[in-house]
Amino acid sequence: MYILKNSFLSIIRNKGRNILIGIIILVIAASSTVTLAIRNTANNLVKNYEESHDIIASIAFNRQELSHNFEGGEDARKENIEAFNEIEQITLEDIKKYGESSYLKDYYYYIATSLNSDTLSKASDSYEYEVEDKKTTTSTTTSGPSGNMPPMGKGGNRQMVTRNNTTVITKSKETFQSSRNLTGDFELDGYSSYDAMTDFTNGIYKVTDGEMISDFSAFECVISSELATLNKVKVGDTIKLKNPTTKDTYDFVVKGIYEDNSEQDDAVNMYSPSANKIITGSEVIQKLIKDDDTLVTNTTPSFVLQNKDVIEEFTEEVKSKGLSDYYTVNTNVDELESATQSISNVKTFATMFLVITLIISAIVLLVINMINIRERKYEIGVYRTIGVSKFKLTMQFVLELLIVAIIMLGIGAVCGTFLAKPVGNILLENEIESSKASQEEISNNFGKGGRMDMKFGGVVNIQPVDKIEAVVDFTVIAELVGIGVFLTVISSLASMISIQRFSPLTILKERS
Amino acid sequence: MGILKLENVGYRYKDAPKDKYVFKNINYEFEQGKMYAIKGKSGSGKTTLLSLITGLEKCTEGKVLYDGKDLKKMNLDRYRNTDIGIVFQSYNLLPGLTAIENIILSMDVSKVKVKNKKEKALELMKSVGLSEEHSKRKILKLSGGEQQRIAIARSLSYNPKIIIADEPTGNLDKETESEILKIFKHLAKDENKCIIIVTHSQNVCDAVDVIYEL
Repeated sequence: MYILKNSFLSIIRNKGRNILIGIIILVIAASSTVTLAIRNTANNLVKNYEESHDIIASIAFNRQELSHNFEGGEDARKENIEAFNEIEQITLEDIKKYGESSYLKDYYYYIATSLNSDTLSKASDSYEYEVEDKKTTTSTTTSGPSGNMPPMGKGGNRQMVTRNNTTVITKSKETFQSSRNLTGDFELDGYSSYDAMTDFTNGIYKVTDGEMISDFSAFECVISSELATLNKVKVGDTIKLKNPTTKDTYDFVVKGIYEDNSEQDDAVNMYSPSANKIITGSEVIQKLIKDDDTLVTNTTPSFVLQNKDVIEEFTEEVKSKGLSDYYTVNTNVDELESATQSISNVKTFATMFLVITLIISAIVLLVINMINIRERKYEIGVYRTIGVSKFKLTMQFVLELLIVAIIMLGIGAVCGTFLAKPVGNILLENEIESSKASQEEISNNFGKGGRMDMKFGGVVNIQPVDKIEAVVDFTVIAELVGIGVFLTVISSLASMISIQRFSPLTILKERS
Repeated sequence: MGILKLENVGYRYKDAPKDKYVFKNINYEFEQGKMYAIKGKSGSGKTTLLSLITGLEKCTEGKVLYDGKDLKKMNLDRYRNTDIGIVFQSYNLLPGLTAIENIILSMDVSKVKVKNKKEKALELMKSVGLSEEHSKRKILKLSGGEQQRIAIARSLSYNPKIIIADEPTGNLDKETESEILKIFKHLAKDENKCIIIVTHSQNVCDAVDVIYEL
């Protein structure tokens, strides 16, 4: 107990020295609180963000692999398309098989097909090429003294007979296109669940009239507002769609009308790309396929992974279940990470700053303590001669520093609490500005004049984190206490070692 | 039987040659109620012997026995704060503390059971001829003689059986020296303490019961 009392008394007696140590610890405490609060809040933000955004895997063509099979030159293009058609499509059965993976939380898909319309044209990856048709015609001309009829008898007037060959080349254009192309006028997208409707969950599309379909097997649909206006279709009306091949017609009840909120920078087309998109349930498309198994469909699956650590395992599993090498598994991890990039950078900066601050302050405190111990050598000698053990003496010196550290850490934590939020937001703001500047530069490189509308891949649209509410919570306080203990122990090393080494008699002799 | 016994005690510095001893074969015995002087020329090892008796150093040969127990087997910190009081020539008081605080600190360290430490400290100060007024002064505000009295009072604070003093009057004038010696004599005769004084002063030697010469 007297050790604690002596520590307090010693702090009071040596005000100057302890105020100096206190100021250093106060600065360390305030900066550590700010950086810890920023780091922990950033950590939580990133964690929450990752938890609230699923890791979605999708299957797409592996164009690198595809290009190995393709040959160069204009003449090979038809063969290339034929080779492309040869690649097996992903079927619904495949998707269900992949969906059984234990690495998944869930999976969903949508099947796109197209039905006919007489109104709008659509873009397609068709190939138009020239065909030459050569036709040779032969004509004969006769020249001589009499009439037009050529004399066939002997001794008549001599006549000249000339044969002329004329070659006529007719050029025409033929179109060859992939068998995978949806040739109908309307794209009919059949979703397996609401989760699959990512454009709606992301807010790109919004039902503005009526509601979303509720029965995924009923011939119900939701159409775009443009299509509704053009055709004067209202919610509750029935629209007729026709199979382009079999000419079978299907009646769909319009349950809702949606608006496309995506940013349009297209100055060419009159209608948005989603104008002809009709939304229905996946089971409806399956019924259409049952009626006509030649109906062209494209199935797009989305697999919700347990976490980002299982991407490789899931990829290997689907490959082992038969996914062709022409396909690749893509995820939205990069996009998720890029959304939290700025905050992650701030976190890294905060961590680095904290580490550097701690190293520097530990060194400074260690040096101050070494000087302090030299000054207090005589005191150590006296304490030892009156029977204070080395351990208790070390404890007293450590306690002195710890008391100063605890008081200053408390004050520093309060200062840091007020500073953490504004400092965190300034750092994040700067980081976002610098990130924007670099993106603008990239955008400029693409001739986009610095417009921030460029997206480089990714499965879902993700909003980036642009605000940090740095909070000093229990974790920060606990870490701060840890830092206090760490610094105290490090800076007390000098006294610990000195007390063990000093011979009291030698010290006292030196003093004498 | 003596309270303190030195049996064939020898001391050699760690880095010294094997046969180079500061001293060897020392056989002294000290009893309670008597005053002893350890006398010797400069460099004879008086202070080294003091450090062996106080447990600040360990002898390289022989044994130092306190109450029959070998010091090497004892907790020397406990021994120093309970069984033996040390008084140095240069007093070795903590200058940051007042006179009374130095005495109370010693009581704290020894964990002696005293109801009112301050009262006891004042009593001790009075016994060495200091007033209450001295108690509040910082050490550096006291004269050499007063500081030495505080050092003696401090060494008495936990009621040890032995008090060992290293040239306690070395820095003091004749008058003060005789006053300090009076205190030691009183402690030996009236308080049954074993007083050991390391000295080269003839005055001190004249005042003690037994003289050991190194």
